Amino acid sequence: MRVVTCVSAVVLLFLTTPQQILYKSLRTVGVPKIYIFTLEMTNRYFFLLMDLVREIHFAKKARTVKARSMFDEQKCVGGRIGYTLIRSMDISEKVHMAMISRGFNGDVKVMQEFIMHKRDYIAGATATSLS
Amino acid sequence: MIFDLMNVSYSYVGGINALKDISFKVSPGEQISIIGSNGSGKSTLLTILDGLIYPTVGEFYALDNKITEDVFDTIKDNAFRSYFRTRVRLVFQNSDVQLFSPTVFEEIAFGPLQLNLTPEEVKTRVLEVMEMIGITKLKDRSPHTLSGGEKKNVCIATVLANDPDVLLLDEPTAEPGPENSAMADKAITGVRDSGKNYNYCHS
Repeated sequence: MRVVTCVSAVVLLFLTTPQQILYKSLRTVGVPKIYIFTLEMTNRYFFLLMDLVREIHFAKKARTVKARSMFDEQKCVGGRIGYTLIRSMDISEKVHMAMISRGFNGDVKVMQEFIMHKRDYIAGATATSLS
Repeated sequence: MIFDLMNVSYSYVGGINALKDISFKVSPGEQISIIGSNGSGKSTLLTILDGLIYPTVGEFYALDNKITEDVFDTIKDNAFRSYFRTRVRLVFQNSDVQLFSPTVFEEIAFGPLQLNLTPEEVKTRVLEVMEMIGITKLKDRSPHTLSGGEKKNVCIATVLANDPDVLLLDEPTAEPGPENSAMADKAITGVRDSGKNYNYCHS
């Protein structure tokens, strides 16, 4: 029951709060910026990965004229997984280059726009005590 | 001299030769176009000019300094590397590799933040560049929701936010569709007419 409540609360939080505000809030409450930065990038490139997988699937579907054996389909899926991995590695290398090109040297610098106010601490304490 | 390439060759792992014996110089204020068919090494050349990969044969000088892997690719801070990264900027062919932040505003702010500017200065600079390129309305959008042309404009804005002297543009108007292409073209024309004397190298 506790797990269900926790998962529901997290899902609700993600569905009702814009992601950039969520990330900034996490920074404000002290989550290390390297974790937030990694989370932001994972979220960003998840969509790109989904597009890539969908396009490969459609491209294969569009060229499939008749039903193929289970073995052939499995072979094809294996090939697609391998290709997706190679493409992902290629993109990650280029993203790293783009970051270096813009002056990144391993130290994550972000704009901190949110500040915890007294009312935020009171709201946090109230929520914790109620739970 | 901005760039000086002397007999530069580059081979990828597996022995694929991308460049062979390239020599040329780029002087301050000069604008050059690199024309070639697919797979002729234009992107590889621009990546070398941006100091991201290094010639396998030959010598490459940028801003009168020799660019080598052991000097340029160290973890330690390097004064010339920091200077080079503020002066030379590359717009990648694939916009998606260049847009890794959750919003357009944060994407454009990424470069200026690396220069240790104050948040107010970063904000002013980002808003100015957005105004110049005409993408202010995209400020809070997530990069994956943008069209091809809009992504390219944001990429151009990300490099301009650092106020560079040298712009390397890898097929900036190659986005599919005439509207996307025209959008990127308009942004580049706006930059050219902005009054600053940029060095351009584009393929």
